[in-house]
Amino acid sequence: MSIFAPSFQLPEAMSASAANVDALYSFIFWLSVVLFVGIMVATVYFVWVYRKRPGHKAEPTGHNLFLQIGLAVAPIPLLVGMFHWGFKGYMDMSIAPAGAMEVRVRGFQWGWEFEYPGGETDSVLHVPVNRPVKLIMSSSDVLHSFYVPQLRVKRDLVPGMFTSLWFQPDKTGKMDVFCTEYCGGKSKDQNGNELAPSEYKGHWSMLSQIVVDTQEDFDKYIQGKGTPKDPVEFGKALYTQKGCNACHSVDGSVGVAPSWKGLWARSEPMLDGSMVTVDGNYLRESIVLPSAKIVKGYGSPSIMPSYQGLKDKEIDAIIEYMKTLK
Amino acid sequence: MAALDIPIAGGQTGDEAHGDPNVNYLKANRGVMSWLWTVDHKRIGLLYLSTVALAFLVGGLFALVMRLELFTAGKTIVDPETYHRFFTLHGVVMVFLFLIPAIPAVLGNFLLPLMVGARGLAFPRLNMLSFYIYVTGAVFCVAAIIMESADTGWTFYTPYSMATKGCVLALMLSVMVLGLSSILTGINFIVTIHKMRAPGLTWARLPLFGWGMYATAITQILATPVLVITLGLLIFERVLGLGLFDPKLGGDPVLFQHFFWFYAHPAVYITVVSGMAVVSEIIATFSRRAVFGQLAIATSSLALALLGVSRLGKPHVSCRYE
Ligand code: HEC
Ligand SMILES: [Cu+2]
Repeated sequence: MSIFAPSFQLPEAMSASAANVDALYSFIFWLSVVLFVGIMVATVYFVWVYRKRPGHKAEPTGHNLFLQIGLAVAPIPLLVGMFHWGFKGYMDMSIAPAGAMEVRVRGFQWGWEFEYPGGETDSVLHVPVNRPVKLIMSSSDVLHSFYVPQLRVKRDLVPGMFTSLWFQPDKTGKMDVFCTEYCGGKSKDQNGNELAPSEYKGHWSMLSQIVVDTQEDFDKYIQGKGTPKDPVEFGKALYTQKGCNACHSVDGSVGVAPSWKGLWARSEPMLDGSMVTVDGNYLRESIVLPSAKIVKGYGSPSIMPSYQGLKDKEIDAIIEYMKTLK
Repeated sequence: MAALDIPIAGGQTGDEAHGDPNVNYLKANRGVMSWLWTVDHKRIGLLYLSTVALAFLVGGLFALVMRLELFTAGKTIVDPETYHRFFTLHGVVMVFLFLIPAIPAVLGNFLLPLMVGARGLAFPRLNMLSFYIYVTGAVFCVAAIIMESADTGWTFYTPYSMATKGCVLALMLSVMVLGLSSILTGINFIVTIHKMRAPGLTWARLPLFGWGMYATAITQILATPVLVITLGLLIFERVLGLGLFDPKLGGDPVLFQHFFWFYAHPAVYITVVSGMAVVSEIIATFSRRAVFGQLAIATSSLALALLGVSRLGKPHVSCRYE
């Protein structure tokens, strides 16, 4: 391995967009090396050549407008170029391609739960190779951050909000998932008794793995998980269990509240005159804080009670159910 | 142009020796009280030097324990809770008790009046007040160290800082109070540089260290109030459950991050601009030459300060909504 290869410094690259990240990293790294060495050599040279000697006097520095402007302007194209390169890569890494496999990620103190599109869950994430995967992430307690060095991706998990991330693994194998937003830890149990050091739990132990399988192995893995609770069925059950049906219909008839039929992804006027596109974050907010945005035609504050007690999983299931009500 | 002998508030000049060439500021008055109640800018600079050096030592000791703990995997000397408290205290002590005041409050206090040709800073008593506010902040910090202090990290991110059991309040109060001290120093420097330059010392001739202190002071008075207010809100949130930042109550934790980095991002420039100002002076002095591009360096420090304040901390908030 050559010392010029990015993998000399960085962990093995295992995703499609890693090459661009590494190229930019190498560019900035080697540019810094060249500039650092250049500046140091020049400094030492000038210090030596213009050192204090008998027979030589310090002369006034003088003024050179062109040199000054030149030195100020010269780095600008370089900086703008690096910014452009970085920002374009960031945008590419932010917008998932259509057809990506969507996985729900829930972070909590101190672990991870992954839920596949079919509703199967696991504490490690299996993904098929060469297929885009989009993670829709939330936290059930404090801030966490999902970081996978081999994929060159990292994004915060924020309670009360969905954040997302996508990647396309291009090699089979295993990699580690870390939490990179400090989230506490403990060495004692609920009763204040000291635990054995191997039992300590915390930010540092908030680890998981991503296993990149071939498509066949992945299918086998999913089948091995058995038939899970279908989130749509679960959401449908919650619709009556939690009493949403008292106000909301699913067949388009509008009573005291808007119907859920056709709700997903439509643009909807709000009471304050703004328009929203109905997506996960909007629905979550409508359920947890009904008065935050009120649908046009309904009174403020909303008559809908706040459902803050719902678990992340239940909100997800309701949203999945809503998506099917076309 | 302001004259040299402007009498300062209450007839005090911020100069113990009162301009007598035969008495220096160390010998002008004697006794502990003459130091504790001094309004002399050089003496206050030295008082800051001692406290800042002490803070550096304390912050360094916390770091030392952390590195020792990491010597072996698993527990080496402290349990995880202690480790978390120590890196929090390390961060708070190093940033707010050492880094921020280090150059402005020590070298700035001592040198700025000399460099602009003034007897002292514009408000000598305000300067003393700002030192004692700093000491008050340090006392809160010591209280936090003695009690089971915060384990939130120096950024106090919610919702963790709402949920954790440790005594977060003492440390947050400490940082708030230290912020106030920093604002007062900033105001003092800006007024001094504007109003008390010796006749003929135009802006173009102002030494680069003066420019550095000016840029730093602007950052201090524009960005620090946001920190003080944000931590005030956080304290209200923790005590009264206001629901500004806590998602359970409908608040937004990312809002706290934006507020916090509105201060903490420019705070980086407080450190680097003052450091570069010192380096410019040292090079100019020992090479016995005027600095090449003096005006360019001066304006760039100023631009750095203003851009720093206007960046709203965006680069530090790493999450994207779906
Ligand atoms: C007491 C009646 C009532 C109940 C019960 C109720 N809602 Fe609502 N809901 C409303 C009203 C009225 C609105 C429209 C005003 C507003 O935006 O808050 C609404 C709006 C909504 C919206 C936004 C709809 C849109 O068109 O944008 C969602 C999503 C929603 N409710 C979900 C739920 C869920 C999930 C439940 C059950 C867990 C529920 N609601 C229970 C009365 C109710
Ligand atoms: Cu975490």
